[in-house]
Amino acid sequence: LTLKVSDSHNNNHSTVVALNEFSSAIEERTGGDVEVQVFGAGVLGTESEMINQLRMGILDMVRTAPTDLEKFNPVYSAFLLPYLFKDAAGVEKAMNAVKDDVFHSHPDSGFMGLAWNTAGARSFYTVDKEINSPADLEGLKIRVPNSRSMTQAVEMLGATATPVPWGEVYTALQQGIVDGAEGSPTSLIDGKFVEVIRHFSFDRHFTIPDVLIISTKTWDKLNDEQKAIFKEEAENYTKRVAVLEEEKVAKAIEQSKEQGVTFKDVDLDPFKARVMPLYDELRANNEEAAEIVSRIEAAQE
Amino acid sequence: MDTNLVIMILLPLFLVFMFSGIPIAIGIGLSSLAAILVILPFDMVAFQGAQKMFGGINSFGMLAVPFFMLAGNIMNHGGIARKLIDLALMFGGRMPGALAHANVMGNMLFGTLSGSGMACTAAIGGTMAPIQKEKGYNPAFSAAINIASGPVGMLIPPSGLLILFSIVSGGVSVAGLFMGGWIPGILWGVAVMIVAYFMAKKHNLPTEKSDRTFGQKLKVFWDAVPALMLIVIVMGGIVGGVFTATEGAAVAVVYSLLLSFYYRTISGKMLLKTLSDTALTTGVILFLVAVSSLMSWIMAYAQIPQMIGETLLQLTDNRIVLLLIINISLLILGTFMDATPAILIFTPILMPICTGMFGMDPIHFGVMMIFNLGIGNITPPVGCVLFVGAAVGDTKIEKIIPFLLPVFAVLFGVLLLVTYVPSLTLFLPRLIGL
Amino acid sequence: MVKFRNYLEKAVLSLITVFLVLLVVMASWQVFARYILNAPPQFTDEAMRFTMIWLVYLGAALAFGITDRHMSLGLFKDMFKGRTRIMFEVFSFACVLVFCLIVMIKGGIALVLIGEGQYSDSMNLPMNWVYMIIPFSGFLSVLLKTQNFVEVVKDIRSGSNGY
Ligand code: NA
Ligand code: NA
Repeated sequence: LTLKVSDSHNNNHSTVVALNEFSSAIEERTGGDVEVQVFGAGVLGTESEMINQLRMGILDMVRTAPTDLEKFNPVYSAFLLPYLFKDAAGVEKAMNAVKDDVFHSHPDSGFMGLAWNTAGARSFYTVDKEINSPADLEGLKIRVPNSRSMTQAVEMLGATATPVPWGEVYTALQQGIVDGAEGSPTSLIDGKFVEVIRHFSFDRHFTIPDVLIISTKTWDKLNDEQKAIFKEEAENYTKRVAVLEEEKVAKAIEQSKEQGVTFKDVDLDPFKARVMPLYDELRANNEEAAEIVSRIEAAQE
Repeated sequence: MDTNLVIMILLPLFLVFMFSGIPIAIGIGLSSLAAILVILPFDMVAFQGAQKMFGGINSFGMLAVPFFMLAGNIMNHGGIARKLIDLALMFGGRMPGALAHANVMGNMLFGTLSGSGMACTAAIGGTMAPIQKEKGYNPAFSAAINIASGPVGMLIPPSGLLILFSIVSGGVSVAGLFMGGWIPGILWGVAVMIVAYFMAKKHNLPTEKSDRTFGQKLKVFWDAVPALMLIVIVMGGIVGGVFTATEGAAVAVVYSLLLSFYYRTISGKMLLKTLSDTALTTGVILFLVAVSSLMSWIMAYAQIPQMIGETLLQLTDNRIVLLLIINISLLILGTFMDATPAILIFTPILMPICTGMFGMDPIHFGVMMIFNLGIGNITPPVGCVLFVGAAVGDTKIEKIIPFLLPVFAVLFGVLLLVTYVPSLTLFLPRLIGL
Repeated sequence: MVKFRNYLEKAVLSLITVFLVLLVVMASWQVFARYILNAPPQFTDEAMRFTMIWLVYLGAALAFGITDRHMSLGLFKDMFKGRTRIMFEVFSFACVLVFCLIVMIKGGIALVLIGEGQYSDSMNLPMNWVYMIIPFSGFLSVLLKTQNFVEVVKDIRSGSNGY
């Protein structure tokens, strides 16, 4: 049995590295009965294209994010709320509490979750103006990825959300088409933004975990022993990405500091206050996701 | 093993389709589908085909292709080419074969604006051919020089092909590629002028005596200024970050439109025809792009790039030899294919080898590849610039070839220079910090 | 029939011309809104992509109805005349038909079906409507290519129009 797993991240990204290790472990532990081919760098398409391929049976597993998953399974909308998690430890606690229910919800979507991985907290970074409070974001053009929920949240926080494709962000920042962007510290290095960015404010508005999904048809092809191996290796995948990401974030912060970027902790409360309507909206419109949100909150108490 | 089988079906089928004269896009699509049936069931193949037809062109950057094409076509009909020829003649007039040099410089200037080898060859060559004939130039020689310098606009920015490469490669900086294209593009033009100089001397072609006064010269320059300003506005805007490359292409359309109104050379009827022609051509070219993305997907899915990479590395692990092999293979493939499908098909295969294994800069790789495929545009049997050049020069391809042979030799030399001296390409991008 | 086709072609050509103008207008608007109004529009990126895709597939279908409008390598088939040449045209016609039926129509319908319930990122358009252009273009291509094929065969038979 040969499974194909696809990831849009570059081949040296933590998730692809961890997937390659996952692949070797599976092959070894199943005695070669199950082989996992890893396709990194998005060679097989964008994330929503990959999910469609998985639903059609062309791919078996995809590393993706709730931004794309919510289109197929409304439960994943829960993870798109800003300030859902308190900190890295909170993410782990909360995910362990809810992941089984989330992963196995809506089997009609054609896929289930197998593992999650941290993608770091997203914060604002800017070229000129330091961000200390939502008021500082007023009138600033901030680059966002092309996603409605992210655009909405960034607008509520006070900035003017400007969608720019990833490949054009560097020039957009350099030439002032946008005043800043948002992401984890590693994006400063990955996109070479460190050459133009001066201020990074840890406002941590988003912590959106990635999800490794597997097609339900593929899952049914595995025998019980193989399923157990997959579950164990999925846990290892989660841990491995966490370790790799922590190293990468620390290194990114150090490198960025060397190049003159200042990192600053800010008071989160005024930011949180601004996005509370999003919680009310979700509670009113998406019962399933709202229930998961409540459990995530409870798990972090 | 599946990988081998997929290649064994894909390649021969592709060649059969190509030579049977069916639309290239359909040939690419059908051979890809047939090959992937080895791995995937029919239903999935059909679905994935349709998904790629949509997804393959669902990219904002792709819009630059119709925009630059439209700008080029408007300028073509707007008489802007003529102003640039006058300017070129003023500079190149004292050399033997003056009109040939003017043709090359005209192509460099107009190519800068239009970014399409075909538009440029048609616009400048079409205007110059009758003048050259009148002055006793061999039409085959004139056409050869026009054709030889036709593709410079693919390298001298702005260039649709560089933008296409940026998209296919997954986001190599367009501004960086544009800056990288300048020096190799100018070298290309100069190389053609050197060849033209020696050929003109051999055939005793006349110089153009200029009896223009300083004031008249100034007038010629002044007339060309609005056309030249487009380069300043579009390039300055993109490199200076006022707008993205795609937006810059739209600005080029608006500006060339204003320019045509200013020179009063385009009628409403002609403009409407230019618009509908461009729209139709956009359909043709981006349909080809979409199908090629299907082929790229199928090659990635069957892990063909890895296999070709490994095979190439088994031949040799010497960087210099390998780059030579890659260049010669591309030149051979380029004789059969046009640049657009070639970029789409070969970038995903060759780029990981060059940038990944050898640490070649992606900008350098892109410029090298487009230089190479630009040569393919002027070689028989398939070369759109060659066809257009022969048509506007009113001569036959077999008569042009003898004059083109020395150009090929010199251009191959320049290609090697561009390949092995990275700073030729990378000097300017580094200067602006890319 | 011929009249219907002329109207159809004219209508599609006008539509893609309007689309092209619309694209230039939206791109200019995007630059203008960002600098002058300091409010970058959220929808233009997606609107332009979808408009372009519709333009491309209508244009490509239209081009199938025009002899040699799609790029092809004619040097080999151009050497033949009469019956042999007709064989080439039959082969070409069959290839276009197979591609359109399998990928554009069959695959396109599968795409429309999977797009059920999916909405676009910024304009919230139902994706199955957006995807509809693929099977539609397949259908239009088959129609126009068939017409063109019949004409070309007629021309080859009678040796007119340069055959
Ligand atoms: Na150009
Ligand atoms: Na060629």
